Amino acid sequence: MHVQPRSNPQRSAKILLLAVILVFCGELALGVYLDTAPLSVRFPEAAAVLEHARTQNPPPDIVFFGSSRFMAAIAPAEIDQALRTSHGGRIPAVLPMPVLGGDFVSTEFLLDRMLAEGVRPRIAVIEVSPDLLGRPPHLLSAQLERLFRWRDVWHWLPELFEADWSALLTARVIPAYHYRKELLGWLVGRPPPYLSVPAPELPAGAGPGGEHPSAIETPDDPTHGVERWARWLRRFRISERCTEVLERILARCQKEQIACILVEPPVASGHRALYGADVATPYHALLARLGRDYRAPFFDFGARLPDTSFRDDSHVNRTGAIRFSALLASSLIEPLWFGDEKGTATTAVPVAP
Amino acid sequence: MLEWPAVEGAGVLFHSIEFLQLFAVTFVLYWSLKSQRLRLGTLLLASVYFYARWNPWLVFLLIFTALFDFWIARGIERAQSQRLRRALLVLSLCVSLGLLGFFKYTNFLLGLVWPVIRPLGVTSDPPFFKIILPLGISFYTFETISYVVDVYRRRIPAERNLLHYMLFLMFFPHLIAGPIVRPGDFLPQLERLRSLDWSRVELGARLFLLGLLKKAVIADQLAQVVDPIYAAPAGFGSGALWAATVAYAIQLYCDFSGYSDMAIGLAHTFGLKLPMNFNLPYLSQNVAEFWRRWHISLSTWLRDYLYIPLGGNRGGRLATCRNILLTMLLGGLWHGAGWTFLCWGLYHGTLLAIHRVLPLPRWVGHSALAPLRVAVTFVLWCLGMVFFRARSFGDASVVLSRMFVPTRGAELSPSVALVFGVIVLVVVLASLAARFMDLEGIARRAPVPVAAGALAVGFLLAQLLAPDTGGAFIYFQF
Repeated sequence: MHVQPRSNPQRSAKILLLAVILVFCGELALGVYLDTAPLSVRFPEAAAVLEHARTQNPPPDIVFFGSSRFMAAIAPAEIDQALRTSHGGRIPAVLPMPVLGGDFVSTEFLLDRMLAEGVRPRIAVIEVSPDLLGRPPHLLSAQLERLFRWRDVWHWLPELFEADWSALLTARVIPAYHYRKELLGWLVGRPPPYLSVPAPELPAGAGPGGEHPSAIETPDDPTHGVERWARWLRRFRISERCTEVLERILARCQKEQIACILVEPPVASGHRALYGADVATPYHALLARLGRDYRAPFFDFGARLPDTSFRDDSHVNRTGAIRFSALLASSLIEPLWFGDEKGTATTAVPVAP
Repeated sequence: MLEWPAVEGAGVLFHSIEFLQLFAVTFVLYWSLKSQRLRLGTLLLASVYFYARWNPWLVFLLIFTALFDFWIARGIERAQSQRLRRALLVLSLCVSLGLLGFFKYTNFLLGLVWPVIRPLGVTSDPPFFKIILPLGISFYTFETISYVVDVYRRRIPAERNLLHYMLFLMFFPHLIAGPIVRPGDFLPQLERLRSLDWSRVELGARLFLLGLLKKAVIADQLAQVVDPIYAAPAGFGSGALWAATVAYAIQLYCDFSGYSDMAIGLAHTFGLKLPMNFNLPYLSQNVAEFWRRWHISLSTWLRDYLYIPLGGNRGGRLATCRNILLTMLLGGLWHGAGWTFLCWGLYHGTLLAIHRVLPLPRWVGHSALAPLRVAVTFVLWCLGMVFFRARSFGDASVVLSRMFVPTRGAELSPSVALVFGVIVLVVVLASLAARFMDLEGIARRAPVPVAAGALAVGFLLAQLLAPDTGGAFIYFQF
């Protein structure tokens, strides 16, 4: 396109100014529109989890809320099998409801929605760890991305700025770009890409050679991620806002007569070593207070698995999931659900049917 | 095995948030300064940062090239004897082409030399050096060569101001993928202090948006069709391979002309003008016209600094054909160190030579046959694209054989074919509109709210339709 500059600077300035205003207004309107979108648009994972909770038959007796750590570690089939082996007959229906990047904010949201939809378990197991209670909350940008509306953004503004101000800017100032996949998926009815061409089936030796990258599993490395967490935990302090949210969850469960159990999932030794006294002391003090105030016992599984059970510093591998699920069944669910024969744990929790 | 030297990362892409931040800061600072020296210094700093974000060490190579040729050109101008002038010119060419050759062609040349020295007792395979290809080296090498040659030919005086010369070479909009700027066009623009002209900023914004739409909405989308098919052509049927080849022709055009539009638009916002690089090439009616409309800054460079010095069309038909072939062969090699690029250059050289010497019957030029001529030219270009895009000569032959011999294999799904068809239709209609309608006049006459609304909608659309997989511009690797 061969064009010559034209000479009406005043008109051009007006055009540019108006265009900037229109873009800004357009972005703002899109952001507000997205805030009203169904849950499946911005947070399809939560929509799927809630749908599962609503349709599970029999309805769940025990639900697990948490992050990818719980997601990797909880194998419902293993829990079922362990319970059946020792008790046979009717065993509690277990439903894992962790989501990627799950924290107390997403847990509170899921709990509220679950209760609103009439799903009322007897026990709610909630993942806790120093990593979920520190400041700035490192998973807050995930909630900004998929849960927060403008009023939540305003409420969490200091933490959001501290955690990831660029994510805050892109998600709220240019939602047309940030949420383009979600918006297109919503408008068209299925998410992009719309031009993807699947790889053809090739006879052996005819392809470019080598396995597809996704087919190659990375080897387990229980030290992977420790450095990142070490940086984050360096100046650990408990986040008051996160504590408030956790307390609201516990209070809500108490009100709804749902027994709340706080569980710290296993982490590899390198990760555990990061929890020095400066981290562990305020953390355990907080959990002790919550246990007293809300009758929410705390189970620490942090050091229960060897490093061979981890694929990185804080996520278990398949072996770890089997072991942890068996541990959960024997040390947590059995005593709570069937009565504590040994009298060693949380008898204060009234959960038996 | 010969491999294409990889570009390390992509640096700051024009269509990234980081670039918009860099641009905003530079723009505000540039126009708020009252001294031309400070303004140009700001642009140079921004350009150094822009390049250093890709690779901080290779900035020094760029600076060395600039300093060296600045000094050489001054020397050529001062030299009294023709011999010394020529020696300095040769030295400059050796250094510029030597650096380009080292970074771009080392492994290719080793692959060529090895079969020759193998009979001498060398038993090992040719070594493969992992050499990082400096971004934009092909572009800035040609710019610096044209500067030294122009000074040598006394077409322009040697630049006295080092800041001006460095900015000529390093000005960030054209640094990485052109347009290839001529010193005689660019350097005089740096002489005088300009005042902010909003009409040029608006024009720049429109060109930038046009480029953004071409890149993000068309080129990056079509890459999703092209990449998997060209990664394993043996698994796809004839229809899919034709579709992928046409898609690649459109992708390459939108990617590269999109970059050029953005570069030209950005330069306008600083009150500077870069040369036009594309002029609706896919509406050309023959191959010669095509090359006058495609990558114009390279075509004219090759014409002025290679084809004409070789003798141009002054030595009869045979010599003209030889010069065309040689020029296009080197043009192909400029794009990449590989047999596929050489073959691509040879193919286009042959087409141009045939066009030059083959007399066509008069009826072929009838205006009613214009669409047919456009279609034939486009198909000929697409066939060349196979060599340009294929990863190897073997892949290119697989693609071509399957295109011409109907072969079964995976095809595009109906929904993908529909979206692809819509994109092709949009490109065709937009090209026809640009060719037959006075779009600039329409923009000039449009009421302010309509013009502003079009800009805003275009910007929002570009954001909304940008795919996740959007990446570096194709010409970054050249």
